[in-house]
Amino acid sequence: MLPRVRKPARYIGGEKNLIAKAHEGAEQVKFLLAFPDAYEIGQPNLGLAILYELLNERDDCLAERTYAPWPDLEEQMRSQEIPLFSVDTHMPAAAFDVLAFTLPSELLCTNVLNMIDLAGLPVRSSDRLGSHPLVIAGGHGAFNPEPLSEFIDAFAVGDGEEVAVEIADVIRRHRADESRESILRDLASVPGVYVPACPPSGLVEKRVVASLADYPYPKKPLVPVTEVVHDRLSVEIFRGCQRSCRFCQAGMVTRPTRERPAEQIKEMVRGGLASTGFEDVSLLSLSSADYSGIAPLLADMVRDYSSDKVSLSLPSLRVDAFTVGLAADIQEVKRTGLTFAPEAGTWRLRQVINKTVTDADLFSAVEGAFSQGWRRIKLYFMIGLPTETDDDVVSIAKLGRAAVEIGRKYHKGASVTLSVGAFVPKAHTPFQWAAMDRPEEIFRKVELLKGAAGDRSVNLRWQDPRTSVVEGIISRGDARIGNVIEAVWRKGGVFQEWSEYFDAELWLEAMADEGLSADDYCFTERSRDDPLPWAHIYVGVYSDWLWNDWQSAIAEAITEDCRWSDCYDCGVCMEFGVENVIGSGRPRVRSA
Amino acid sequence: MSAEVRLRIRFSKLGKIRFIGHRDLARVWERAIHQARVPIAFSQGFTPHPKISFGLAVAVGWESVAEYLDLMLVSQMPSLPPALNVALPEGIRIQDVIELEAKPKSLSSVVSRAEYSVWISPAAGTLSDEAFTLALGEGLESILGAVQVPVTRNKKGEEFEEDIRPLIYELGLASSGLEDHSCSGRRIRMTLATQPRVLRPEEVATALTLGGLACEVSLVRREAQHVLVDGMTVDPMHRSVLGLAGAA
Ligand code: SF4
Repeated sequence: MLPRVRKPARYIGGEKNLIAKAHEGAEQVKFLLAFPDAYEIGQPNLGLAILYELLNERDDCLAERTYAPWPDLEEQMRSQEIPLFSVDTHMPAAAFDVLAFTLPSELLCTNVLNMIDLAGLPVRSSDRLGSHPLVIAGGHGAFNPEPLSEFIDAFAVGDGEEVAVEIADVIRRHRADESRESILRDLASVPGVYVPACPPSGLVEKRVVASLADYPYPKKPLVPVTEVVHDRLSVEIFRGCQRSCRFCQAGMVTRPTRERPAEQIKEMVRGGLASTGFEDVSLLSLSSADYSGIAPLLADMVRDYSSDKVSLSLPSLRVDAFTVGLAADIQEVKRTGLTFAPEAGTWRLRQVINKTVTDADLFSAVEGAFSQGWRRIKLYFMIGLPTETDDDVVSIAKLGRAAVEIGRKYHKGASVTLSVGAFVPKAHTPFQWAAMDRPEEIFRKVELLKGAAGDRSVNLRWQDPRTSVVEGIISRGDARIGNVIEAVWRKGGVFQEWSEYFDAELWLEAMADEGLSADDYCFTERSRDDPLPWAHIYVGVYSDWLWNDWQSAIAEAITEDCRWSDCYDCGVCMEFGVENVIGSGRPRVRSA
Repeated sequence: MSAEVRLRIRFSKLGKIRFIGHRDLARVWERAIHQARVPIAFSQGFTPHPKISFGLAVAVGWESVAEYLDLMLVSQMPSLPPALNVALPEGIRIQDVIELEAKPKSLSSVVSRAEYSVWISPAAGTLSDEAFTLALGEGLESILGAVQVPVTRNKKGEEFEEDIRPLIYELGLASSGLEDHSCSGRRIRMTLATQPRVLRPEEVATALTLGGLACEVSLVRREAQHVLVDGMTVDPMHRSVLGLAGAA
């Protein structure tokens, strides 16, 4: 079958450091970790890599991986009746106890259904029997589980390291059970696990790993033998973010910040490079320059690896934390692409979204980058933000032009790419009540931007705003959206994250068939009394606090970062008995 | 600067890893070389490249026990084969290494033929094993006996006919089916041209099908590559090939 598909290397595993344990008897709980997108996207996923190693390290567990088969392979699988299989050993999904999805983005929902179906299981949870593998899901999508609640047996909310093992224990205890009910009931009693069939009496609280230092994973990352999106060593330097950008779900749901000790980071980089042969290291987090000891850490790494042709990258750089010194450090090892995300065109709007970066911050970061040898930089913005005016939009182009001007002082061919996406309100953020712009309005604003860019060195990139609408429907969707997802899947709508497969009409039709309207889900502001479909999922931030922050947003008032200003009592630290763990204990001073 | 060491390596590509392409294979080698701390030489210039040159590409899906590449090191490394074998992914293994005295001609320019094991099975599955083997033997005979073997090829969207007979050197049923292999089909041996172009075993199967025996290739394994020296075929590690050096 593989010789007849494009890119067969997607399905062979074969990575260096593969674990491939033997499948054994009743004591061993077998996980098939599933990523609902193509191999080259999913393979580098850090969450999956952590669970893969952590579970395989235990004698009583086994983990293999599977990714969404590309439509050409799917066709072959369906015609030859070959079920979803693991890339590691090509075992069929039915040989596992758990099909464990990670849910990275809304648009991949239909792939989840497709994979459940390819695995040979009924897509609806209620139709599955005791003999079928359990279908579990975690990751970002689990913070609003309702749209998938008919299809997933249990959601694991929050950090997965501890709960994965607890889930395995429950499954082992229920080995002999015929019925699915008792195992689901037991799973529902595991903290952080939400079982739609056993609705909780109270809230489901997300899981939080108190110290990253206890989980130095992955230790021996898998090295792909074919091209993947991030082909490098990734080391997570901290989890969480306290910046409180009001649109940012990742920032809100992963609080509080927990830093990995610098010594452990260096050790993980050293060990990871030695076991993989990677030449690129990425220090991962939501806002890497915010690591409290970033300057000495980088200086040490530059010293240790500069002679070794190892390159270093810091994704998610905050503009206000990007100094010339930092630029010099990164560039000394090897130059990688640089993206800054000011998110909005004016200081006024940045206050509304609480991205407290001034124009001066941005210009000094841009200057730092160009002066240190970068020729091209990318600036990321959102349009359609609450309270946005045309002036805010046009200012994005002005910033782009000003950045190019700065660049020209250093290089004749300096260029700036403005990458523009439509704002989508997310659950558990202060903007969860906000309305988003209609696609027509987004298109109009894009035209406005095009007109204002006016310089060949300012490139404009934007996303199809119709994908944002679908994202918006699902991100704040309720259980009724499940029927829409199923209908789109049944009509062949898979790989909706990919522009060549995305089909807006399918979604709008399915919405209409269900008697639902995108107006209600996306384009109307919600009021304080509107029930939130994710209200039973507790991420540790009080709903009142979110509401007040939403009000502050409209009033253009900013919320400080609680690591170095006073705690504003969002609730997360107290609730989980963890505090912001700052590795080097040296608070940073912000330049803003 | 006389410390430079030139090596020619023969390696195999077996099992699932046969599905990676040529570019992936190159990256796999670069990474293994880096991880094994092989003292590889780098090209000069703004973006230095490790000095690795690959021979003939092996197609995605083909196995091989006879792939070649040349390396240039800045110093000797006696432990190179075991160190690299540990760093390479499963299925790619070094078979042999020799040191070259001078800069060799590029592998792809000197290799002119390759030998293959090709597993072929009936397309429809209607024939019994014996009947298929018999028909296959006859089909191969008639190709060998033909003056011309025309097949249609497609180049840049245009179809044209080409006689592939001159590109076929040997064809025949293999005596046994290489018992280590779980692959379905009857194994045949082929020696085919790689110059002026690489004739693919699949094209021979097409010719068989045109000749009335509907069949398909289930696996190709490259068994050897040949260099023509004074009318004799030798492998790329043979002394006489290395003697072809000179035009540096
Ligand atoms: S800095 Fe803002 S956008 Fe980035 S992760 Fe933190 S809260 Fe989110």
